[in-house]
Amino acid sequence: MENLEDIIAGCRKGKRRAQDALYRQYSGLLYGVCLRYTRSGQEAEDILQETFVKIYRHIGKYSMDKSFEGWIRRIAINTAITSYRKNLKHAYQEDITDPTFAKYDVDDTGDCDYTREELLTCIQALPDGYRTVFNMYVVEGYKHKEIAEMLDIDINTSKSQLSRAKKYLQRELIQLSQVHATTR
Amino acid sequence: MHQVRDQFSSWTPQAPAGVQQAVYAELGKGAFWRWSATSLNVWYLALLLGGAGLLLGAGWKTEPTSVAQPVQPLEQTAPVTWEAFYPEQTAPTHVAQEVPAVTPAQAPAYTYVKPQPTPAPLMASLDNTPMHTLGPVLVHTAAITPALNADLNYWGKVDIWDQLQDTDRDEIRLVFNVTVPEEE
Repeated sequence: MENLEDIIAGCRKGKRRAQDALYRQYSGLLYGVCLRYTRSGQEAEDILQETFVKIYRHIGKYSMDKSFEGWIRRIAINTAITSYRKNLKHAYQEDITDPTFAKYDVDDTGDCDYTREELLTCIQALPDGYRTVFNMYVVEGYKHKEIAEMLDIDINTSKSQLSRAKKYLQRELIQLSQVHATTR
Repeated sequence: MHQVRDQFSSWTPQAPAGVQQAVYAELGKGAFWRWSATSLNVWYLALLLGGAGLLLGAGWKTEPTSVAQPVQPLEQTAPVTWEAFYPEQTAPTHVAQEVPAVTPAQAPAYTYVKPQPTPAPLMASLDNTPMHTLGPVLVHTAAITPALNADLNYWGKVDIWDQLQDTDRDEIRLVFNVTVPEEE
């Protein structure tokens, strides 16, 4: 049972084999999404688990004329956003006015000599708000208006968080490049 | 930043092995009580038959528990607010000022409080007021915000936000029951 339509039909009937097949096929992709939106692998696992629970429970509502990958990816992102918003209730304060960000040029990343794992580590180290906006804008391709609506924030907040996230990342990546240069 | 998108847009790392079992464990929780439209559970049948038997045995002596009262779309009432859940925030005047902190496991049933004298929002009843179940309520999509959805998710009730992304329907049916206080 590796045909997607069969897998979806099986999942709608609650068949364990179909759920296994769906997990095998998409867990990697969704885990990648979850890792980008969280601080750690453990947090990503929690989001991944919640995402699959939602997928299995709500797969009856999936419309076959739309991209399934898009649908499950959106559930993962929304689950991550929900988690982010939940965390906001407990830890809303983040340093978004760090003046050191200002001295780094947005486009000054130099040569790309870092690995995906290194890049992921830098993204995960971003403050939660920066990381969420950065992922939604840069990787998922959402507009600032959409991000503002989904996160219930002002458009200008979305823009400034993206800008600061980029500067933060570039600072980290430049440092990484320098480390690589000295170790060669 | 295109490099970032390229690096992560279709990245599929190996998902941790334990997540799948955790998903099934989560799906199994409360499955006995969860209605599934696609698979009529034998337990539901047994419960229905048992319930019918009890009613017949009691000779219909008890008063009907439902109230013949139309479900009110929330667009006709005040905006939906959820401050009642958060003790750290100022509660609106129509909500008891002292709201005890509760955990998700203790999440109260959502209730619709009848307008007295002005329309009141959908909120959680934290007291022991006898309630009558009215059934699903229609909520205007304009009243549903990411924040509301996040809160609903927080209490483990429904996940509606991702369903709203692809719909232009004016209304959506929330899947929890709405209850009202018994008549004085």
